Amino acid sequence: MHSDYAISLQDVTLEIPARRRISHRAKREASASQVSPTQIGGRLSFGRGSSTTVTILDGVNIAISRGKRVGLIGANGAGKSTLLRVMAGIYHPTRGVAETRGTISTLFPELLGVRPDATGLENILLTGVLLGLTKKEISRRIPEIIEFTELGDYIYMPIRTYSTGMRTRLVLSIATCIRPDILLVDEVIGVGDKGFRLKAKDRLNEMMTSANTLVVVSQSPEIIREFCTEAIWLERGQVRTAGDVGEVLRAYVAHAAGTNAGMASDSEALLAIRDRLAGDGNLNWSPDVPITSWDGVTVGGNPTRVTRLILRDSQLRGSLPRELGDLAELSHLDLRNNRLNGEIPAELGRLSKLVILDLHGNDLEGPIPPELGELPDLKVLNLHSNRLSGPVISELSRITSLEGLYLHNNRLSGTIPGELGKLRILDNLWLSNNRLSGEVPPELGNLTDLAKLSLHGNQLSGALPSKLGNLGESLQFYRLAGNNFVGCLPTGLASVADTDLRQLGLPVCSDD
Amino acid sequence: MTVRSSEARFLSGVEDIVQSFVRTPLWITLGWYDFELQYRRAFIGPLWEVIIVGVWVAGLGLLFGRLLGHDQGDYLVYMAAGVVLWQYVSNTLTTGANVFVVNARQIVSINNPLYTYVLRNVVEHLVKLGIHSLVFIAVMAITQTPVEPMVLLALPGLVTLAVTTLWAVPLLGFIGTRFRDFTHLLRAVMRFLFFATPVFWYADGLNDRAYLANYNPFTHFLEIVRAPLTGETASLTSWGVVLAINVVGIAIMFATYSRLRRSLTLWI
Repeated sequence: MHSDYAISLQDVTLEIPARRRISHRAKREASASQVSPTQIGGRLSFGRGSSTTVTILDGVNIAISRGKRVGLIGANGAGKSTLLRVMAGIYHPTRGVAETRGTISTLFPELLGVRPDATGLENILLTGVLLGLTKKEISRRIPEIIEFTELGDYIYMPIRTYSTGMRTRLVLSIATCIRPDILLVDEVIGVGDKGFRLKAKDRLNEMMTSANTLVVVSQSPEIIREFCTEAIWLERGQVRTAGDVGEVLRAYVAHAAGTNAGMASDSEALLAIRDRLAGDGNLNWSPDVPITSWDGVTVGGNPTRVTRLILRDSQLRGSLPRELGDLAELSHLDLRNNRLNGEIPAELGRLSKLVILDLHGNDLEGPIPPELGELPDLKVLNLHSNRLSGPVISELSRITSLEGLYLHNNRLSGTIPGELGKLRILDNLWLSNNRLSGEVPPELGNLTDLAKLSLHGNQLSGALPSKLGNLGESLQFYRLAGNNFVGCLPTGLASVADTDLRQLGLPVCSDD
Repeated sequence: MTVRSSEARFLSGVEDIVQSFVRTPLWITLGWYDFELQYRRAFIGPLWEVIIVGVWVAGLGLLFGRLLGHDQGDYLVYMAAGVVLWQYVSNTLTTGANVFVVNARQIVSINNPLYTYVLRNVVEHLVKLGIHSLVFIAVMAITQTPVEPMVLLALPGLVTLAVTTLWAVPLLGFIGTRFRDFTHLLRAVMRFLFFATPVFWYADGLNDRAYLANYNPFTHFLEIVRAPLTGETASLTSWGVVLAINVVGIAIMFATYSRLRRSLTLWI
């Protein structure tokens, strides 16, 4: 044993007697069945009568050197909070030895709101006194505490009117006035908004410089990572792994994601995507953080997979990674308004569950890959305001579920394929401000659900097909000007409310 | 700090109590707030304490005094002193059985000496006793009973009574934490004892059954404080009984405290 330890636990076991109402049958069944590997909580041993023992800690050996910041992580009921209380000397081990060196201070959620009817100010006093400060020390620090909590006049209100976040601010501000050698924190830092968490972190860091040793319990690997350099993973009262925070958290997160192979491949794909989008430090995607906390990532379904990737206006750079095609259960892919360049990878055609594909407002180049025509459920294809070139591919007509096709403000050329007339439920067709030429195909007259049609600012020519008049029923809006149309406007279109008829300058066809 | 599962327990029990006295500002402050905050949302606040005891005294004086055939001034003084003291004994003991349970949240989050919770409870009820005494003083004034220097002899009795609660509360607290039925039982017992103890009646009124009062230790605890207040001296028997109980009680308390102090946090 190294002599410079702050906390040393040797073979610490803690059993708690509990009286439970449990029938004899239930008891027999419980003792007969094997403990499932996923069962939470400590081991239950049923004795005679109603006596039950819960083994909460089971032969725990831990040595924490002075000045270390250690995180305790584990599932519900793994014994994290209990272990912290053994370190604090609140619980005495049933077997084994717990040694600590130096003064200890605790910051546990039970302290939030010592006396609900007392004001914030009085609670500062009461909690401070409980934590071992003298009244004098407390009153000297009160202005500082009030400033830190940002509670303003709320400080004169009874704290039963406070939110959990406000109570947390209060307790944290008092507790951090104390400079112990060892600080034990249980699930407190995670509460409160992001701004306060940063403040709390600063405050704890400040405390650390004078003190010392920190042990933090949290279920969130993010918090542990933020505050600690080492971690201990507890599982059903036993130490499973201990060591460098990164390694332990990786093992823990992998274990938690565990049996779900699909999810593992999703997270691998996302990590590859992160590497491709290099130059951007804002994404918090990392193997140490559970995927559910990753920016822009939504998971769902059973077994859970990544279903949405939404990173709007995020300053993403680089080319669109082909690994996106590996997120097999993705239904929403929305990367609008970034600075992505390069071509749209053909691999996106593999995302057979995709409903919304929105890449508008980037610097994407090259042609629209025909593979996008293989997306059977796509409803919205939004690629406008890029630098796409090549034709409007006829393969798009195979996406019969398509409701919105937005390809405007690109450099698309060639003719409008008549096959688009097969998209029977299309309600938005935007092809404006491209370099399209040729005539408008009469098949567009089959799009009887179309509400908005925008073709302006191209090099389209010839006469508007009279079949286009069929759209008059459903159409609320069209823009056709800025082309080289001749002849007259089909009668049906004359009744549409929102048009650019004046700029178009065509007479309405006579009805014969 | 080293905590071994097999460490000598007596010392850690004694240390807990000693440390509690080191942390005196802690339990004084918290004990006061325990008292004060009960009335925070009530309009007339702690005045309720006076009213509750005042109603008892008035009711007993007007009804029972007449019923029992004594409604003169010295009965009222005797009965008022009895009721006020009984309030202290009864409330301290019944809440004492719950003292660790109600403070569970603090006990499991801060490693403060457990005995501070005992001291807080006793302080809270001593403050209440002070307020209830206003009723007694009022009765003295109304009945125009002259105040004699002898009244000061009530002080040693009062101190002894406080000391008694200081060992009885932790004992009851341990039992009440381990066995949650105990508080309810205790409340029933105390209610019965209110009638079975000469609080508002004279022990000598029992005639040949006076032993029913004399064998009741609560009679003697009341006696050592009340006798000087009513112009008499407490009997040596009463003092003897009280001191003997205290010696035995303190010994039992230390033994129990040392044995059970560690398990208590697990029972909570």
